[in-house]
Amino acid sequence: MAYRGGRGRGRGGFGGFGVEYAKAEPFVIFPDITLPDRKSISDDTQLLKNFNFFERFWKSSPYHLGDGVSKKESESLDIERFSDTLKPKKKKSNERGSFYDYLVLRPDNFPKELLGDTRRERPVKRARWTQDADLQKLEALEKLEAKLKAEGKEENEEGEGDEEVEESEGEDSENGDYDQNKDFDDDDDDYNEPEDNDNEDVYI
Amino acid sequence: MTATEFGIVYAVHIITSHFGSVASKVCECLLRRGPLSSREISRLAESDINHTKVKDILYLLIHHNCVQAFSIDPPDGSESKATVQYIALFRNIIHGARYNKFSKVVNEELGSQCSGLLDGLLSNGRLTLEQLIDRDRDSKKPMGSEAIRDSLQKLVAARFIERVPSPEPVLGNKDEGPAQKKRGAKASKIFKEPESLEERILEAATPVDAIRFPFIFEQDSSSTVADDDSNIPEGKRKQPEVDYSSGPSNEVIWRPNFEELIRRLRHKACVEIVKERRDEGCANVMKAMLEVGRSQEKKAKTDKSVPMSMGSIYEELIKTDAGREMTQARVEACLEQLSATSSYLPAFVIESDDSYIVDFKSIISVAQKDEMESVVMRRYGKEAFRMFRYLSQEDRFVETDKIADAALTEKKDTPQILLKMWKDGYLHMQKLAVTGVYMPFLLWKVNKLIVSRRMLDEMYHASLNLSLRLTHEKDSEKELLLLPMEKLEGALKERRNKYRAKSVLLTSASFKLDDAILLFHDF
Repeated sequence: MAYRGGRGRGRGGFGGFGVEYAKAEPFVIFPDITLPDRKSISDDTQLLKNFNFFERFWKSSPYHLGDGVSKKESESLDIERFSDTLKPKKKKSNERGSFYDYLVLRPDNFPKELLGDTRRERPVKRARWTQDADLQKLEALEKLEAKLKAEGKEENEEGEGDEEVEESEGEDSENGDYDQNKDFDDDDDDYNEPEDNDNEDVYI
Repeated sequence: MTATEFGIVYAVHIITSHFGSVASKVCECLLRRGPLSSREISRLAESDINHTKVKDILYLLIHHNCVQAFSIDPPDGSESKATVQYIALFRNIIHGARYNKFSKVVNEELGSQCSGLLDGLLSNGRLTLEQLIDRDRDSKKPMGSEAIRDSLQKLVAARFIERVPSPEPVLGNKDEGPAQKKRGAKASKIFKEPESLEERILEAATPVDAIRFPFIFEQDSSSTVADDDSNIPEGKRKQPEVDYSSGPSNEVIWRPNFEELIRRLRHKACVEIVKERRDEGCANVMKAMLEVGRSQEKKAKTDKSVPMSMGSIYEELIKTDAGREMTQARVEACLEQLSATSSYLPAFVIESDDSYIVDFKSIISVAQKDEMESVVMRRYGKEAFRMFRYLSQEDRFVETDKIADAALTEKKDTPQILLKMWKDGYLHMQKLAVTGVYMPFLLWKVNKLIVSRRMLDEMYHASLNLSLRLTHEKDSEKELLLLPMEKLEGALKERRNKYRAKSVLLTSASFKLDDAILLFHDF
């Protein structure tokens, strides 16, 4: 019979040498190490607060171009969880807005090569600087209107004709900060004391 | 300095978390391969990024000051056109992880309105005054356009923000210069060449101060500064004709001036270093000196300040409460202390002809040395630390036995300890063969530049790990974090508090580590 070279010997080792080059160890994602003294690291509240501001911004900014996986695809892979009902309503991905809204497409700002073949004649539209869903804005405005009507006050604050006012009702919505950001991850409370009320805008 | 391996990995991680992994693939391409044209990027980056997408990403990265375009004049007589290339700005990318420090510096110096405006520029990269006003109008607590203008003016006056640089400077086609001609020191060639191209590009892209920091007038935001060719140095003359006069469609586009922001952090660090190693009085004097010389510093990493008189130092000093309590005699005594060299501390100030000069290099190197020695002590032990310190002071190749004598270690143990440090890149080693002697002599040296690079690489690696660990903790508690904190009780509340403590610790540790990165890379 044809000799299947090495087959017998090859089993269980590398190419018939029978020697293991690497010891098989269980994978530990964060192995234990000696850590420095906790007290040697001071907490700077201001730095933490500022850091938090930027972190929140990056999570949902229009500048985040994604990871190459379409939202729909990744959403369908997730199992439905109870906590999904607690999450703020997810905006449609295209509502994030194109980052081109914030770019000044001028020759003193970008190289001619990029500007040259711009087929993107962007209509001059006002960029949205806040991240509320229009839906939430409308809801909030409706609530405010109802509230003030109930109080019998004359309502003249509905954006004063300015449709772009999006954030002013943030404090009235039920969950406070939590509605302001579609992917809000709620780590902001770590750096603020519970009674700290000057929540920075989650705005661009 | 060219980016180290983990420097690149960390930079890519920052871009990924801010802009997504598609953008970071382009960035990684540029960081690893150097400047490339957009076509080359499309070809070399992963196949799922088409040419249009590459352009989108380049727009984004330029807008956020992470990439700079440029072109090089083709050789004389050549028919070819200059190709536009893009270079990744490693330094600026790493700045992306420390915007909170910049914000704090401006808040302390100019107040919260100015820092709020700067935050807008840091997060958006580049904005015009009009955009800043729009943004403010949409915010929860608008400042109003007057306040915006006012704050903008203050930021420009303090040079915390600047006009965007030239989008596509043209470099003259010439040799890299002296770096190439040096046949000898190979080490210096490696470190100098790539840096000089990036430096040349940035220098060519930066406009003169009058254009870079224009005045903003009340009525028509006119920043008309005549583009006087005769004043512009050679590299800049080659810029395409850009109209710097402004009207509504030609408003100045602003961006953060990282150079100045880093300069402030550097000054703060210097004051801290002096405070730790001398005393508070000397630190106050140093602070005043830095303030006096600041506006005349050419670049952030300058070695020495301009000379200043005792009078000007004192004048600046008494502007502060702490300074007012110091008598002239005390100030003189501090200056003397600062100018003195001892066996364990070099002079921080140079005195010459009744003028005083701050020696930045000396101050920073003291802190760097401490950091290096602390790492060696912790990692290799006390004996190794003594050897390392001795070699750093000698700053030349020394033979094993001599090191053993100086460090008071056993002659037979010494080579082992030295080899361990050498294996990890903390020492240089040379073998010296001598006729008649069987074993070659081993010579050892500390090359500070190499050690700095090694340490920086480790620090980037550690920063990356801290960030990944924080993400891991966050992901582990993803569901818990969605619940409003006030409504938690009992075990859940405890778990939430524990998460909070971990998060605060990891983040604070990363800030501290970043201070060390600044010390070795930017200061």
